[in-house]
Amino acid sequence: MHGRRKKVLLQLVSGLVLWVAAADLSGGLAAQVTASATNDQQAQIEKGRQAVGQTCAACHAGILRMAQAQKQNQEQWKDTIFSMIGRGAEILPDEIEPMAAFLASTSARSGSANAQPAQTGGGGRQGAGRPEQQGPEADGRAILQRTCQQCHDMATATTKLPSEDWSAVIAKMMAYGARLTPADQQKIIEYLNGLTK
Amino acid sequence: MTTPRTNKAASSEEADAGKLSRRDFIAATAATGIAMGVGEPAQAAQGVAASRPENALPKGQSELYVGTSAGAMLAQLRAAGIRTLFHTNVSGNVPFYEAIEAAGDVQVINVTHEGQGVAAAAGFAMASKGLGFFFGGHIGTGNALSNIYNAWKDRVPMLICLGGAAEGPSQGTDGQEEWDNPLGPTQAFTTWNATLVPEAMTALLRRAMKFAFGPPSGPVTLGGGTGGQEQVQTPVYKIDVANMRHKSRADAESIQKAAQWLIEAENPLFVVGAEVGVEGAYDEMLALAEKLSVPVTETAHSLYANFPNYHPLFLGELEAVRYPRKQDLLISFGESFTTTQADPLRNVPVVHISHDPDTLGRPIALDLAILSDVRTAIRDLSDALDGMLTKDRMAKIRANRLAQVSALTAQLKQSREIALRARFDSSPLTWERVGYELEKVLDKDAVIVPEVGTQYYKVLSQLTLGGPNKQKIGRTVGQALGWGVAAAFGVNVALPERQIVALQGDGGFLFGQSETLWSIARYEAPMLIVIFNNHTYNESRDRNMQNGGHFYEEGKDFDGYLGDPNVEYTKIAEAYGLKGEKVTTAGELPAALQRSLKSMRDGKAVVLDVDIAPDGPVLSQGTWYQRHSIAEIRKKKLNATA
Repeated sequence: MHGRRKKVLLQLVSGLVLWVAAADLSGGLAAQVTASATNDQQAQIEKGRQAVGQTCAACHAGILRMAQAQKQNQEQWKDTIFSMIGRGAEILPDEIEPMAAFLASTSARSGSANAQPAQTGGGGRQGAGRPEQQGPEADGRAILQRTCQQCHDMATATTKLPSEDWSAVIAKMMAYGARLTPADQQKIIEYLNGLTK
Repeated sequence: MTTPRTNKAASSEEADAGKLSRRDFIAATAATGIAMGVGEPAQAAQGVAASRPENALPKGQSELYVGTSAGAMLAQLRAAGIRTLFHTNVSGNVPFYEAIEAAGDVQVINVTHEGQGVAAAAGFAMASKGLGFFFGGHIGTGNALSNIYNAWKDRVPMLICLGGAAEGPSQGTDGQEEWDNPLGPTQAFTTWNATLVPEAMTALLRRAMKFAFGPPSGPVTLGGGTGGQEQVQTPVYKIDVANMRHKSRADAESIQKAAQWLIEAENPLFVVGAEVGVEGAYDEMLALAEKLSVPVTETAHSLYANFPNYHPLFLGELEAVRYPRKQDLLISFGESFTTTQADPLRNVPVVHISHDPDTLGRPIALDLAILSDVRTAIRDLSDALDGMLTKDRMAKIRANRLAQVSALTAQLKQSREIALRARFDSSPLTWERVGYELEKVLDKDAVIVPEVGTQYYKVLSQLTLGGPNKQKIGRTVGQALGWGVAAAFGVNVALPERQIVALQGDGGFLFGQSETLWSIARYEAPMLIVIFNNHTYNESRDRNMQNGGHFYEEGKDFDGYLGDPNVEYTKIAEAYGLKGEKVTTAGELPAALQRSLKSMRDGKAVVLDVDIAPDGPVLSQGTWYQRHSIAEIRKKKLNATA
């Protein structure tokens, strides 16, 4: 009897160990898969960002602001990209998904996605969004449009390397001849930091 | 150009070398029939019979016309080869009509609105590469104005007679249907204005034609003219309108410089513009691009299909070009850039070749301006390249570049296919699906006349345009809506053997175009009019809302939504005795097109009303409008007691 109890106990313990090990392993795998998926997603978004800069910005200097304002999800952006391909945008087949991912991520940063159009004649959807931005953020954007966009399109002007900070980028641009007062520099840096959070 | 140069050189060299005596030289040139100003003395010296050999000298002396001044007007138009006169009803033209009937070879095409009449005459001129002619009353000047503007932006040579205004002592009385300076409202959109007077009728018309062809070419407005009963005796000038436009050729130094830059550039780009179409220099343009495999673009508002859109070197619109990323030379062949954003050209050296001195350097700064007929400049540039490059080097440049551009255009084609297939069966239909189905059934040489918004490329990229394939006329560069159906009708008058297809937005049709259906029915023009019906002024709505904002998020738009009332365009067609058909799902379209083609073969035009999905940011596709009902707000019910 004692022997049988010991055997059962051993079986229970070994089972528990196996379960814990398996759980640990699967958790690790899941974490790895998640991390990998996140990395893939980030790579996808980065590829999309570059493609947007090269294609959309040629005609839409304020593409990032447009993306934020339009509040579309990834599928809706994909539809927009199909539409733009039809209209002559030079988008390559392997850029379609990344661009949609990037634009959706930009939209999401600004608030709601999954927007639906108003469908009621004489009515309209109420309270879906916010009014035009006011205050420091709007100031920063206005300064950026006034100065940076003299040489850069909007996508380029709002993009930096991960290793850089915006203060360094602005300092570099000042060295190239950009004309910004110290107060304007501060506003623009705050605005750009807000975009890339 | 080569032959006379060679003959002249050979003749003078031989003469200089003393191989021929002067007597022999003169005899030789006289025998060839070459007119060098010495033919008759040579014949006399040789004792040649009086019969003069055929030569290339212009034959005509001006003839003398005796009759009414309105008859003189018609005689001068006929002497310039004009046989088609577009017209909107007005009183006071009886002498002109009598002259037309007496002539027996002139067709009057009635259009029930001056604006549509001018657009039809413009379409006729663009398709025939001749001179458009419209006559109506001065009281219709306002109606005509938007399409005079379009014709001016499109540089269409045409005469627009708006006769009947007060002349002489009654000027300035603010009388019935009178205002001061009757042609004044047209002056901003014309190359010349004049009031025709009996004693100088034909001379003024000749001058008007000169100003219509330019360059710059464009509409000329004329007062007076068609009602004249005064007896006149006046010369009638023989005019070949094909040679009316002033010809020009660049100096060799400019061509050499352009050729040198083209050779040195690693990533050159061509832009082809309307002058290629006006001159019909399609083959030359294609050959030059292929010579060095230079990628070719057009601007967003290209008036003609100046380059085959299916060619591996064709990249589409300049504004959208990604390749080459670092362009280092851009050569425009007859593209004026007047509708182009300057951004795509920033920091890229630009060579602009144009036969119109007025456009050179006007919208953008140039590095080299070349005043020349485009066809001649292309040939000269090609010859210069032949002289500067060995065949091996040319082949190497061509092969390297072709591989890169072809790979890109193949991928772009694949993207278009993905976009087409992604929404292939959608209902309402996509623009792409309509283009796809049209491509399957239209004649290879059909002529497409679009007046749709910025979505036009979705349709046109599905069609094989340019080269020996379909041709395109429009959308008008002026973009004042209310042009397309009438212009397409004018194209059909000029090209009765071709299949004519108007691609018309619903919003544009509502700019007063149903009037032209009357002319289409009366003259049995077997056209196809496809109405892309998205119940929206989609272009302006898209532009208004793409940056978001309060109205976007509220789904509000004061002037964009057209779906209430939901216009039945098929019934409008039927009201004019034409065939109308409605397409609401993608599956219905192929059979509807087959029925349309049958009707066209039978001689009857079709209005095909196709439900199209609205486009643009998703929140911009709402149906809101500012509601106002007079029926609801009125307090007094009319006929309440009845």
